[in-house]
Amino acid sequence: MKPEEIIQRIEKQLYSADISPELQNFGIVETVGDEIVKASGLSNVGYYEEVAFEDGSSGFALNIDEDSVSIVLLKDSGHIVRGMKVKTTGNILSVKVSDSLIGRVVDAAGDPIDGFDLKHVNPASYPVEKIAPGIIERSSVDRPLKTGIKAIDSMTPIGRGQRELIIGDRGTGKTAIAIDTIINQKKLDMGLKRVICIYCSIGQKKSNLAAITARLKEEGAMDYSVVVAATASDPASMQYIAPLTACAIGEYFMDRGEDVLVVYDDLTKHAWAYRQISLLIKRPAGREAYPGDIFYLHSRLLERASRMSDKRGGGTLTALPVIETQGNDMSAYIPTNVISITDGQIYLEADLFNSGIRPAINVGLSVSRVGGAAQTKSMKQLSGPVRLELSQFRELQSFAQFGSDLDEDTLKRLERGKRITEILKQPQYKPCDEISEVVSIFAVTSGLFDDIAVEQITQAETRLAEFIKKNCADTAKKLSSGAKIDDALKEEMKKNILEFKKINNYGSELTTA
Amino acid sequence: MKRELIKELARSTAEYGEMSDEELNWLFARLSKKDLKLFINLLFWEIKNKKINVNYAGLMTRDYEEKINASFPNRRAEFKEDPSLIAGVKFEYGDNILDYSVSGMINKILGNIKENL
Repeated sequence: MKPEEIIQRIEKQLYSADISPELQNFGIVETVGDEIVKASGLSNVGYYEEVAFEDGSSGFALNIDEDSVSIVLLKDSGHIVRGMKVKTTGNILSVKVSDSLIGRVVDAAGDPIDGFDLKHVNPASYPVEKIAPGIIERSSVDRPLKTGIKAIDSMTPIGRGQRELIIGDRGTGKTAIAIDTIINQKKLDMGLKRVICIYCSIGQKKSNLAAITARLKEEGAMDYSVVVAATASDPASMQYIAPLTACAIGEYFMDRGEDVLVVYDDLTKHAWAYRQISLLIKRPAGREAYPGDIFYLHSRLLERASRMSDKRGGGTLTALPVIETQGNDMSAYIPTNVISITDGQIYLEADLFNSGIRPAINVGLSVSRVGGAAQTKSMKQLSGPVRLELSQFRELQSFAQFGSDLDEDTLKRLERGKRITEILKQPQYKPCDEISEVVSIFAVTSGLFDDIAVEQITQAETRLAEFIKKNCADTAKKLSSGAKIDDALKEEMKKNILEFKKINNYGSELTTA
Repeated sequence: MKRELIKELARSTAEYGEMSDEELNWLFARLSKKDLKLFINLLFWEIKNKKINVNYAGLMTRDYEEKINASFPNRRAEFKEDPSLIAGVKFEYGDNILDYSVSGMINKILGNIKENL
């Protein structure tokens, strides 16, 4: 900023300054320890109100007892002592939001941690805790949020405004799915509006966060993304506030009519942080030592995801919470809580991951309660057959060991299932567009890939998508619109695929079980 | 001892203004460490509620003092000169601060500038 600009801004502030005296309420620090400060006085403090200490530290009031107030520290200078004064600020805990946040990595308080200054332009102040939109203000979810992952877009589609849980053991690819979804928003498929992505990292290693941020930058995803981070070395208060901050930032964009995606990675650590704080402020412990309102903590966060009605701007906030299970236990306390809140779950299994099926989605246990309403017409047509074929394949797999003792129909279904499984495998950081997804799934469910060896399916699929986009402009255009696949388009696609196979010499040998 | 009783004890001690050695010994004998801490805390705030600290810089005439006393009828005003205020008055009563001083206004303006720059 030039010196003249600085002087102008200072003058503007001086002329518009409100110098009327305020009545400030203060208290005196009684005990300090473990991110919690107890203060007496503060008779007018409100719940979740920001308080400021004499030494510049700040926090917010989380427990208001008869004789004392428990303050959770956000910024700790390390010099808070007994007897120090603490005063109310009159502000509910909020975060400053503006377009300047896009492309930045910030902490739970909204301050930058990526090494550069953050200058807000026309900032607004959004409270981190907010009541979710009411029923009348909402509209039903009807627009797809494309993840670019074939298994998800075909069988557990996500709509804009939905809450879809990603659940699985450690190292099963939960974060990979979330990152691929964010990267895929670069495509602006099918003329849909851009999606602002907010990745909220809770309790993760800094090295992981650095790798994720670097990957997002490399893929160009930081042009429309914000990263909110409260890493493992940050205090529990920051880990507790981080998802609320991410949601508040998302609401700022949603209120302007934009579509937003918020990934909470992960809410298990969020629950741990809240448990720690609650135990420190001596709230009664319930099941597994979690406080009694642990369900409400997540339900009120996830209820803020919505599809707003056109009267309210038509914006959407889609939530992708991540939960880590221990030993595939989906029936544990926190997983069952969040499953009952969300509109479906994507269940990842370590066994599938280890056997090379990546993304390791268990399609039998994964569900999307929004379903076809969030799919294009073409994908909706194809999802039924692919789900049916896969479920038949799963049932028949146990008979596969009998080899030649099976009848022809069973063998055919097994082979088809193997090819569908191959099609649904996808490398990381390579989300597919609508055309590639529809063409791949159509090719395999229509039987046109039955005569291609299983080992060649992945290669054939990639080449087929390139072929269609390069050589069949008409077909590509129709597919990219998401319109229904009528008989004429079916024939056209069949013709194109057969031509592709002929040119590339696929299917020149018969395959047998 | 019940909290309400301790609160009543603190209130009446603050009202009476003093405590004899006998009363103190009675207190030490009957209150646990936790209750004693609570009593001291409540007594501190009761005393604070009963008086108002008036810190001022510049001129403070008898007339002003009477006006201030009349504005806070149930409290005993204690006047103290504090040059760091530059000019004006700062009231401190109970857990409230009402700052009419020049230094307070300057700090407020600086805070606003810092926040918005």
